[in-house]
Amino acid sequence: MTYSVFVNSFVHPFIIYGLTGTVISYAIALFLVRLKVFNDSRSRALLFAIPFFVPFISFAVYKVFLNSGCYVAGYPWGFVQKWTCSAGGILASVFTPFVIVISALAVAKALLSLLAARRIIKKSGYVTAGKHPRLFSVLVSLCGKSGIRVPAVVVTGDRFARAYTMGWRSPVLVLSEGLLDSLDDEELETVVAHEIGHIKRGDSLLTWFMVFLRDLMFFNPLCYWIFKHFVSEKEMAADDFAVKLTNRPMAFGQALIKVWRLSPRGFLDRILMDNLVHQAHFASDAGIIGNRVERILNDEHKVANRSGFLYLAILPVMLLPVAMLYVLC
Amino acid sequence: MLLKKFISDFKPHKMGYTKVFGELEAEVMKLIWAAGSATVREIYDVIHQEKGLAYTTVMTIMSRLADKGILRKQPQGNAFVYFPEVTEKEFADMVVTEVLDGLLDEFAEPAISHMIEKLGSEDISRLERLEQIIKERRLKGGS
Repeated sequence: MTYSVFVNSFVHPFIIYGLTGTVISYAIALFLVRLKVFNDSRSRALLFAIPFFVPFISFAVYKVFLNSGCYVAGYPWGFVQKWTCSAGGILASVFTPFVIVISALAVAKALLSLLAARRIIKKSGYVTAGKHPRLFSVLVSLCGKSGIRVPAVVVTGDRFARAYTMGWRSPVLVLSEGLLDSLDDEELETVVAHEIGHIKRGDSLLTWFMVFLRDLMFFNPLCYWIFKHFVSEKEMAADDFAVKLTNRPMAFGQALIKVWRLSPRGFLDRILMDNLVHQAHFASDAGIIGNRVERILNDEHKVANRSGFLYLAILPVMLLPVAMLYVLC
Repeated sequence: MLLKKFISDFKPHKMGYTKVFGELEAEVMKLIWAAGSATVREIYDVIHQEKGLAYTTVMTIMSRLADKGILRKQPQGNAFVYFPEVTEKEFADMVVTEVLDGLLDEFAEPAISHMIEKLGSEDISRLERLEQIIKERRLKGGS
């Protein structure tokens, strides 16, 4: 395959799908989340995740099965194709070297994040109920209530408050000494319940995938915006799960504020956490923490989620943009 | 109490009392403040469970804290009972006063403008407001 074939047949449609697919899909998701039936965080997190997958699904389907190249086919919308093809052509010729380099870096970063997780486990080791009886009594009871296996637990020695989950097939719960020391029993229970929520929802795998896809679509700034929305909704979905499981909204609110206060906020720490240990953070910046605490105090976690409607909503957010991309390129 | 000794060891990036104490010293002080007074054996029983430290290590730490003047020891039978010289709140107040006075003496302008910026941060004052609501609701029995 020559460089020009690679640019015209692969990078060109990929850039058009990456730019327009996410915009169309996100616009539909934004419309749907305004409806009352999708007013819960679980629905919103899922609907905001779909725009990341639309370009890749379209690309896989059309490149492999349907499309042999980009051409104006004489549809009534042919002029749209003409514009998008010209724009795609210009962007592809500019971005192709970056696509190659950044795709390689994205793969390396995704693998590095897996290695970072292993390193954390190797450095701190798994802890047992004998060493942390308070933590394990809470963990075992909550896992029993939510019907999941008790995950392996790592306690890091640092004095900052950290809580996140890693891995998907065999999830690992990571907490820090600083967190365990600073929370009372009720607060600790809610933090552990929040992490169990992430494990139940499979957030580690989804977030890992989304960071990878976001890195591949580096040319689309909207992806960073959508990702921020997704992360915030996913955390709120886990908050709701924690409060419903423990029935301790006040302790949870207090835990959120305490963890935020004791979270590392150094530049390097942020870069490392966002890029290498991006699975599921408990705390984020002050504004988002404030929103999360406020919605718990306002009983917004009680908004019912209607899974049946949610699965129906996936169809327009996913299929409509995929169909539109067929016309575009 | 030799407060200057603690302030000269002030570590702003550490958490909680480890800003002014060593990690084990902070652990011991928290336990003594919570209990009001304690013997080496009592502290050892708690710390040994969690950290697996030797009895002599705990004794050394407590003697060092007594030498620094933050603990006072009184013989009782065959053992010494250790009392805090100041309450936890008094100690926190003293440290904050010393550190802030030290900063304000030499760097008044940047210190004050930083404090104003910090106090004025909308997000932080909002969190403080929310925390107050939570504390009140928890006091009334809400969990």
